[in-house]
Amino acid sequence: MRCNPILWLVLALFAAACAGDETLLGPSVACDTTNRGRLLLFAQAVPAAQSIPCLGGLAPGWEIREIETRTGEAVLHLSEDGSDVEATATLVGSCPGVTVDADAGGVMLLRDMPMQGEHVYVFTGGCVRVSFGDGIDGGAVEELLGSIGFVSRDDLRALSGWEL
Amino acid sequence: MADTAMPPTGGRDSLRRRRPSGEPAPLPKEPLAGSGKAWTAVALAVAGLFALLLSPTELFLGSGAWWNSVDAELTGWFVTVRTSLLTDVALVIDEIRTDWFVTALRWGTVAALVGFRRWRHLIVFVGAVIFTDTLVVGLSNRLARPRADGVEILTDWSGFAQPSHDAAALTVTLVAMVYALVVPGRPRRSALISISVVLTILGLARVYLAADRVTDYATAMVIGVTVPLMAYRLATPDAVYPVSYRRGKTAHLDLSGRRRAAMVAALRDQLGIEVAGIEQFGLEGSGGSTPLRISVLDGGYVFAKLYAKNHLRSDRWYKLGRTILYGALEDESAFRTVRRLAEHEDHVMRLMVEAGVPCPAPLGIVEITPGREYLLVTEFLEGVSELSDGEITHPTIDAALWTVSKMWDSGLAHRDIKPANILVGSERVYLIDHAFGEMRPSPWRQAIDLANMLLALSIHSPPKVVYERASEHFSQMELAEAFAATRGVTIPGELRQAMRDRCPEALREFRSLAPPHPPIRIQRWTRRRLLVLVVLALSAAAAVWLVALNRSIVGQLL
Repeated sequence: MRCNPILWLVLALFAAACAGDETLLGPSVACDTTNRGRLLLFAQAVPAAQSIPCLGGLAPGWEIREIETRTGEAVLHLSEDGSDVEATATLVGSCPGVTVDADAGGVMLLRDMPMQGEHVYVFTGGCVRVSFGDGIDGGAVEELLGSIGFVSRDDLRALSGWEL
Repeated sequence: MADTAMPPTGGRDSLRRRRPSGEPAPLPKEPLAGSGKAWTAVALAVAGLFALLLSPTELFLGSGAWWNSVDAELTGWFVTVRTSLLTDVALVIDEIRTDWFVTALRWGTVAALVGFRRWRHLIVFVGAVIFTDTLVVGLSNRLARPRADGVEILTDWSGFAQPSHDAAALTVTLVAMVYALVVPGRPRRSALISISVVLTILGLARVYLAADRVTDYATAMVIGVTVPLMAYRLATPDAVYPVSYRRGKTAHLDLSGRRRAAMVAALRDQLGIEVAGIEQFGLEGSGGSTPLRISVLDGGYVFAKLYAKNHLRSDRWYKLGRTILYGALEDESAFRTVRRLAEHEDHVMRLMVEAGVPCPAPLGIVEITPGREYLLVTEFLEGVSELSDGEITHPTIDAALWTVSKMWDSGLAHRDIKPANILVGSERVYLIDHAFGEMRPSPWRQAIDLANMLLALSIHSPPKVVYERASEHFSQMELAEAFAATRGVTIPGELRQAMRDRCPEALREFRSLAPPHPPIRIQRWTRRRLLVLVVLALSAAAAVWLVALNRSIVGQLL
């Protein structure tokens, strides 16, 4: 079930009011785990990451243009049909200048300055940077962010039977 | 009354033998002979496996879990033998699959093929590489197989695991390099064996490092071998486009091995000629065929020209070039088949002989490979030499001019009169190489024949003398017309070069001797010429646009 982006925004604002610039997210997006190969490969790319990004159903008109994975990094390239507008979600082991409390658990959204055009999700062992290309409007940003979810490494192990 | 009794052999030459239906030709077409068939079978098996893996079937062979368990056992064994020394060695070996090394090999091959002007091999090389890389990336994304589980991967990796992109990239590059650059036969076999050893060692290293599993690597190798092998064997078969570093023209085919044996058998069976030896002959003046002197078992020689598909291709390009340069003045069209090429020349020679134009008597056509290779066999003229090497006397000049006048009277044209095609002996002049010969030529073409003969004669005799002799055979207006029609492009290249070396002013001198005549235009704009130019321009623009559009992809792949 896709999370209502307005509710998510409200929750984020509430959490931000309580916790400063960091927002704690629960697994608010039900990920599509049928493409297990991709999830497993992402988990293998960043072995320390305890949360693996996934998609809960892309916004209409958007598609996965390319998947890049290599040692230490996994990148999802998304693009809008019939236009040059694109977005990327990059899973890496750490993001510069960002540290996470080992006990915090879950996934934390670091709210960034709007003009930077990037959202950073931080969790134990890794982080995901979601960036948007030129020409994308605010509504599309919210829709895309609403389709990104996370599955924990433990859940993925249970689902797949892999050791990871 | 002629003796019409049947000879004891039943009315047929005892040496000739009709090939019965079903028996293979002297040199059969087998582009995938030998290893080609084996690799095709392996590739089909792998393709079937991929189809199963991608299908919803529940058969265990199509189930990823089954393959995972097989691979896990094999990978697990390699992990148990890991030591720090072996790991260091494996990491060094793994370097050969890196992007920079593979890219260097590819660009080096491209540069070599450009340097050797082996354009067809270049196109096949680039096509095979791009096709393999695209296929492997597409298959791996579709299969979406993760890396080995439960083991530490000791080197860098990228992308889905099967087929292994690194293995496929290196394999297709090495195999395509060998087919493009290494001479067929033992050198190529040795190179392919060496590659197999290198790839096997790399595979062991990759599995040891857990970067690839056995099936990931094996399927990539099969794809990386099969694609270039089939591409080269089908698009650039060695029999037609041999890789050779011998000096000489690419038209001259290799005569060793199977081809020689096939020619000997075919000459015996089809023309009743028992061959004692075959040697290349008169290569300097030939560019559109492989000329041969064949010694016959009971003494004497015959002459033969071996025609193959590369000659057909040369003919097509030559005629296309002429159409672009000065239009299709005579509605000229390229031959569609090698058979037609050989048949045409044989027919023209028979017309020449019938018309009394001195030339070697044709003895027939021999089929070596149906549709692909034919021998045109003629008598061998003894005691003659090329115009450049012979003695040019007034009677010789007269005899040469007489051949042109005979062709005019008979409605024939040679269309390639140059010193290498004019043989002289005992004050007789023979015309050879009638591949471009024409029946009922245009007046312009007849005039060009005359002009080229006069220019060829002027290499060894003063133009004034040649012109005086020519005036005995042709009218002044005919001579003026001949030189008014002559341009650089109407003079065969060999003749142009000889004139540059020995008589650069000959054409000017002939024009000053002949009466004035307005120049005869040869640039004609025809619908065909316009269409060819438009298609060429659009193709060039499309190619530039495609490369620009995909420059990032091409840059990554190469």
